[in-house]
Amino acid sequence: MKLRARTLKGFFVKEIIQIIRDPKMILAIFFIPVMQTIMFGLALTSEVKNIKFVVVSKPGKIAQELEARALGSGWFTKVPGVNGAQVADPEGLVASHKAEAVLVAPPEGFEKALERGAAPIQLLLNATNAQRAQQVNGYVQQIVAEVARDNGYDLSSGLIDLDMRVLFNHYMDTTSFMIPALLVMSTFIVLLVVGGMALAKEKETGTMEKLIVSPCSVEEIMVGKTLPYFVIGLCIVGLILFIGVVGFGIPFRGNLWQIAVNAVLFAVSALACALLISTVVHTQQQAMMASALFLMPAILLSGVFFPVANIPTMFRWLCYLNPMMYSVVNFRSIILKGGDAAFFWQNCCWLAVISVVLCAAAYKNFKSKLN
Amino acid sequence: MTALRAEVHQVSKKMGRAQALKRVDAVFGAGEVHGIIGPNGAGKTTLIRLLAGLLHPDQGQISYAEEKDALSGSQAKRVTGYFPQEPSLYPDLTCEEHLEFFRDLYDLPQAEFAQRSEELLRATGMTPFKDRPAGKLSGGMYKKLGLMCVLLNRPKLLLLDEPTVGVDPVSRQELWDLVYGFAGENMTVILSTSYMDEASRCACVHVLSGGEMLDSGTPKEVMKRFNITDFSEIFLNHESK
Repeated sequence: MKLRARTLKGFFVKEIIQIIRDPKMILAIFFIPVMQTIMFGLALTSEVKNIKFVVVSKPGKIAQELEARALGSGWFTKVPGVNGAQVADPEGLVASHKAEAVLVAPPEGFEKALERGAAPIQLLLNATNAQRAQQVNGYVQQIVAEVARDNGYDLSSGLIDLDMRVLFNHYMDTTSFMIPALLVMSTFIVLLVVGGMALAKEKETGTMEKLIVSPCSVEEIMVGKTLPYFVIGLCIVGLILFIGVVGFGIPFRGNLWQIAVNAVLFAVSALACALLISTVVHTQQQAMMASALFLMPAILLSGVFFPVANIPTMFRWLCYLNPMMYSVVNFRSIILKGGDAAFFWQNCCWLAVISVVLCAAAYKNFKSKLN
Repeated sequence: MTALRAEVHQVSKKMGRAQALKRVDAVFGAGEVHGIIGPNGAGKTTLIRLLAGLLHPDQGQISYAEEKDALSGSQAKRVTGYFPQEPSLYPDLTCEEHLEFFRDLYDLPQAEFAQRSEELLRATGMTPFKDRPAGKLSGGMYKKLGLMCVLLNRPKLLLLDEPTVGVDPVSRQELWDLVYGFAGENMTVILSTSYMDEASRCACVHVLSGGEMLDSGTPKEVMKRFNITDFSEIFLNHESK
C-alpha cells in the first residue's frame, strides 16, 4: 500500500482541469442535481392537488359553505362553466373528466340531509387513480364534517369522524420528503456516471497504460482517480441541501456533522461501485450503459419513491444491500426529525460495512485487472 | 546512474488464440539503441509490452540488470519508460500541464523538474507550444510530447513501440535525433519498427518474424549473415520459404 500525497495532488489537479475544460462534465455534475432538485421540489409531487370539484345541490347556506371551504383549502379547484345548482347528471361530470369529485346533496338540500343524522350525501369520485381517490375522499369527508360541526349539526352517528395526525411532515409536503432523498439519488447518479466514465475514459484512450507503467502504485491510481469525484460528491450534497433549505424552505432539524458523516460514507460506496463498474468495461459508452443498468434497480429499491416496508420480503434483502437505502432513511431522519442518535449510528454502521465490502471488492478487481 | 540491460530468455506468450512469441531469446545490451524489426504481426508489440511489464510471459523469463546488479521487475518498472504505439495523452491538457502531471507521478523535485522540462522543451522545439492542448497538436508534436512525458523521469530503459508510425519524414528525423540525443551511457533504448530503413540506424537489430527471433546483431552483421543488401529482403525471403 503506497499513497503519496504528491501523486494524489497531481491526479486531483489533472482531473479538475479535465472537468473544467469539458462542458459536458460540468453539465453532468451540476445540471443533473440542480435540475432534479428543482423538478422534485416544484413540479413532481405526490400531494393531491388541483382536484376539480363540484357541489351539486339546490342553492343553500351549507352548499355554499362547503364549496367555499373546499376552494379555500387549496386542494380543490372550481370547474369553470358548471353551476352546481343546475347539474342534472352529476355522474356525467365525472365520466367526462370535467370534474374529479362531485358532492351530491339529496333533492331536499344539505340541510335536510344533515338534520336526519344519517346523511345520504353522495360523493362521486373518479377513482382511476385509486390512491389519489382515497386522499380526495379523505379531504371531502373532512370538509363536510367541519362544515356540519360549524353549523351545529351532530354527526356522531353519521359521517365518519376523521381524526388524522401527521407527524414530522405536517402538511405531507412532498418537497420536504423528497429533497433529503435527492441528496442521495442525485449524488449517487453523478458519482457513478461521471466517476465511472472518467475511469473508463482513461482505459478507452490508452492513458491508463501510461499510468500503469509509471512508478505510481495501484492504490495511488485508484485513490487519485476517485478523490476528485469524492470532493465533487460532497459539494453536490451541500448544493442540494442549500437549495432545499434556502430555496424550498425545507426544515433542517438535524446536525451538519451527521449529514457530513453520512455523505462521506455514502460517497465512498458510490465511488466503489463506479470503480467496480470500470473494471468490467472498456469504453465510456459501456460505462454509461452499465451505470444505467445498475442505477434503475438501485433507485427503485432505495426507498426514494417506494417505501422499503412495502417491498416484498423476497426483494427486500436487495434493499438491505443497497447503500442508497441507508443514506435515504438517514438523511430523511436527520433533516426532518433531527436525527435520532441510535438510528443514525445504526444506519451509518451498515453503510460503513457495505462501503468497506464494496471498496475491498473494487480494490481486488482493479488490482487484478491492472496486473 | 547507468543504463539498464535487459535479457529475454526462452519467452513464449499467447495473445488470445495466436501464439505471439515462440521461445524468444534476446539480449539488449546497456546503453545501446536496439531495433526490433519485423513485419506487422511479428510479435514486436507483445515483446515490448512484456519488457514494459504490462504483460507477463507464459513461459521463460525476462531479467533486468544495472551493471552487475540484477533488478526485480518492480524495481525495473520504476526506471523504465514506455511509449506505446497508440497515442495516449489527455487531449484537454496542455503540454505544460502534462509535464506537471507526470512530475507529480514521478515525484520529481521542483528544481530538477524545471531544469529537465526546460531541456526537453528546448530539445524538442516545443517551447512555443507549451500552452497548447495536446488534442490540438500535430501528429509529430503529439508524439514528441508523449516522448517528453516519458523522458521526464530519466528512464534507464526506454521502450518505444513503433514511434514513427504516421509521422512525416521531417518529424521522423527529429524523433530519431531526439532518441539518439538522449540515448547513451544512461539510457538503453529498445524500439520496434516495421520501416526497414530505420533498422540500419540502430546499433543492434533483432529480427522478429512470426513470433520467432531470426537473428540479432549489428545491422551489418545481420545483413551479411542473410546475404542481403536491404532488410526487407529478409522477410521477403523468409516468407517465400
